[in-house]
Amino acid sequence: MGSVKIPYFYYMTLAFMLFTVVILFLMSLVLGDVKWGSLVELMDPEYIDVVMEYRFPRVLVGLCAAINFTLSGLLLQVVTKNNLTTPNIVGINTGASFFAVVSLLLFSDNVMGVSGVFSTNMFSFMGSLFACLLFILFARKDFTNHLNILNGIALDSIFIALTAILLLMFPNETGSIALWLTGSLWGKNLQDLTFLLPSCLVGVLFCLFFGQRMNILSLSNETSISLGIHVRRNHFLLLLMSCFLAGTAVASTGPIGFISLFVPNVTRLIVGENIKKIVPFSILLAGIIIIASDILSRVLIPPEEIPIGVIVAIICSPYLIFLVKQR
Amino acid sequence: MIPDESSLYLTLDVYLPRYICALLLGIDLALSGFLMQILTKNRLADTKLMGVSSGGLVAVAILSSLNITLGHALYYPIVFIGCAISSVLLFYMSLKSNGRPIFLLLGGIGISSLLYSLAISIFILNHEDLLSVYAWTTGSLNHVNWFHVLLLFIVTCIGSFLVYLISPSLKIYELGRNTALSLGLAHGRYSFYLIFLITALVSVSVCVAGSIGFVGLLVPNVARFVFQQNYKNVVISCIFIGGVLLVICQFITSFLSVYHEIPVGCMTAILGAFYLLGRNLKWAR
Repeated sequence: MGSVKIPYFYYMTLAFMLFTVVILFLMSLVLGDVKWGSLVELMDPEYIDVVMEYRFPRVLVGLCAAINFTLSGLLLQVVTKNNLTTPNIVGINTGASFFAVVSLLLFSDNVMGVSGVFSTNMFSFMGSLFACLLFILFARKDFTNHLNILNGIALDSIFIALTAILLLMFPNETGSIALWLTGSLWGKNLQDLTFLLPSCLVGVLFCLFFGQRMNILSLSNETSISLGIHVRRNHFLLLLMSCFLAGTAVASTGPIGFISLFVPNVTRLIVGENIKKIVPFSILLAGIIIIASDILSRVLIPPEEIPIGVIVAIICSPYLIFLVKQR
Repeated sequence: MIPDESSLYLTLDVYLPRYICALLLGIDLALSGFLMQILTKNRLADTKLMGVSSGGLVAVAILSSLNITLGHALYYPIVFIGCAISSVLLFYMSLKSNGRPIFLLLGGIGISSLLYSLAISIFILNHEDLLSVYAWTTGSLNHVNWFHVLLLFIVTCIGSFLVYLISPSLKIYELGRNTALSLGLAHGRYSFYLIFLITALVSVSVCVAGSIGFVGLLVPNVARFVFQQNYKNVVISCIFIGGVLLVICQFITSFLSVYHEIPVGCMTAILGAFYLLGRNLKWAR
């Protein structure tokens, strides 16, 4: 089938958004509690230390995590053919964070450094797969039904309750986890990127290459079979990818939920239903939102830091209220 | 055998208030959930899930940053205002979402997470211990004393009496604005009463125990399954089932929390979520 010609204006918008992301990225490196007065101070090695050790890793971690969450939401929406199924509403994020808390409790003493990061990543990937499996089991083939959202909400609250029980049973071992559970970039270093950055790159490449196929998959199952696509195998692949992306992102930043609902749906409102157009646009939109909220989280009340998950929720959750008014 | 002083103290001042509070709170939450379901015409409404209690959480966060505690005369009224704002918002949303309960539920989740995030950010700026904030927002009865019992007792008694009084006309209210008006029920004024009662009941529960979820979803649905449209009996059975359910949940949590106290809200959330899953399985069949 011939591909639809993508208008020139779309590329201009993308370029403009990329420009905005770069500007915001540079701003987030410069803004913060440690300030610089003149250009000479900008070259001060202590200042460069602050930038390279604290600000650069956390912006990069935030950026990768946001892209992961967004793409994970998009993949899930393609599979279930339902724009409201996103990892945070369906319980995948909380499942991943529950398993990550389990791994932190199990391995908190003896495993540190990269292997600790590895175990957290593996556990939260397993958690996201487990939650996704439960969601599929309760959905019983009919993904498109809106009632499935209710199952997702129920699974979500079960995982939240289990996490709370674990946290409060072992309060001594779980000191900073409560902060992590709200979604925070506090104290992120380059070590956190060892799994996050590759998974983010894999996710971006996957979505860019599979754009056309995802377009076909969002048609009815019969249509995609007659167009020569093995539906079940592809669904399995997409779900696996979605869980992988959500799991690795949760392992490093905690659940920054609402971005995965907000970005793909707002992108749909702007560019239409073509997934090939949606993927690059939503990646850049996610970048803009996450870096802007990272700057906000540090600049609003300087020595303090509001967790980024809270800021993203404040920005993105009104979309759900808007959804009620629609049609 | 004469009990020694410390065990007497434990029983009278620590454990007894918790169970009495659980009983009263169960009644509170079940009734407010039931009224919420009538008000929004949505069988799946719950006061925590849809964000009424999150409004109260914001109010409590602001109050605690001003160092005002429960003894203060303005404490309850301000929490009341917080809850009232979000319940009025929900009522208007329910008017906009004609006949689509799931979208209303999602909108409620939007409101609830928005307000919850606001409350958490105020707590963080206030240097509160995040873990205890976490326990409190899940809904915990582990710090209550006799003053809480007194406050809860007064509001719950008056509130449940009022709910019982208006229960016969709830059926007419549920038929919709035009039908209710033609049957002689002042629909607008009645909505105001409902919002007032919901807010009063929920805000006192927020003052005492943070936000306990899913009781307001689970209990009225069970009661309505038994008594169908007979709302007088539904209200009475909500009072009994709600009280007993939360006491049982509190018993299980105190049984589980050997070294550290687990909030009772975890138990109710797990129970309610299983109910929701089971109910959907039945629908799907």
